[in-house]
Amino acid sequence: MNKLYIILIVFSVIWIFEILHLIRSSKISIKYSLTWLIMAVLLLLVGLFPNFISKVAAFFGFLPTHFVIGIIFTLLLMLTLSLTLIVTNQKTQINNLVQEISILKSKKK
Amino acid sequence: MKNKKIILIIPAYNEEKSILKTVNTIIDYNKKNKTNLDYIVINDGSKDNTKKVLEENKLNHINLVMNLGIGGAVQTGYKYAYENGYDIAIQYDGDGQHDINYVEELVKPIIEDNADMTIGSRFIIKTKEGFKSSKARRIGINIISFFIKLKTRKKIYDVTSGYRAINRKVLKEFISYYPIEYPEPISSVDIIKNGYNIVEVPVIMKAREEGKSSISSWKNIYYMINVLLSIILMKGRK
Repeated sequence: MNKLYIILIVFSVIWIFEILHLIRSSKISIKYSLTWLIMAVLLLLVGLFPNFISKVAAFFGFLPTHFVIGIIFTLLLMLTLSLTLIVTNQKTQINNLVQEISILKSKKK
Repeated sequence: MKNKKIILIIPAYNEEKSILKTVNTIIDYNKKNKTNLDYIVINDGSKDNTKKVLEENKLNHINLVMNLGIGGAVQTGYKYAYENGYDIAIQYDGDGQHDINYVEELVKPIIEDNADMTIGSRFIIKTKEGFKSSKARRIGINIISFFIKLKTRKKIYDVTSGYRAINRKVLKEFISYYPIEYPEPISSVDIIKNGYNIVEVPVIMKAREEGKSSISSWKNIYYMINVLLSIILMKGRK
């Protein structure tokens, strides 16, 4: 078995436990935790079934390692985009809060 | 103009040297013309003594607890204007660029119900008088203007002008949505796309006396691309 797949299995198992731990201690909201969990499970599957991955990779004309890296890269891109969306949304919320607090504060005087 | 409740919204960021003068010209204008223009200064988390000047002179103001940028500051003023039942809200610069004597012409189309929003424009009448911005900025303004025309079929000449008046309908729109980044051109497109009418009114502006423009030189290209992209992709919300 390719060393990459062993590293992948070990890494994704640690990752799954870490995310489960974060969910249990309520440090990550359930809405976002699912995305991370799906990513970790996907990686684990890649590590567990390298032959299947090799076949799929060959079908698309990739080397298996490139294929795995490509999947991770795509997932990370999706995740960063969703983080940007969250940041934008929070910026609007902060903007509204600052405005309301400032108006309230000026009324108090 | 006299039987309408009108407020001037003055966003101020580090304007300690000019804010008192700006407010005084409004007070003088009211005395001279027997008008009742109200004003509210929105201190956008200034780092200089703007806050002290506002408090010592008992100017009507709101101190933002954090710096929000021009869009967030102006929107605060709109919220204040809406809550306090104003018919017309005018965005007015705190740095002395805008001439208070144009207020009457600026609100006239709104009072006569010919416009929901008016923009004080430096470019609709071709004179050499007054401040017309640098050449590079004018090129930028023309490009944005061209794209707004493409998108909305409506020609707006002075797309970055911060001297603008809106009626209560637009006020309500701006409270629920006002672009925090690049507010002037984007909000104009938004308003047209939602079926409102914009009229440009010729004004002459002065070069700023103190402080710096909120758009600095190197960020201009980045600004332009972002604005154009937003304009091209915008859609009406109704």
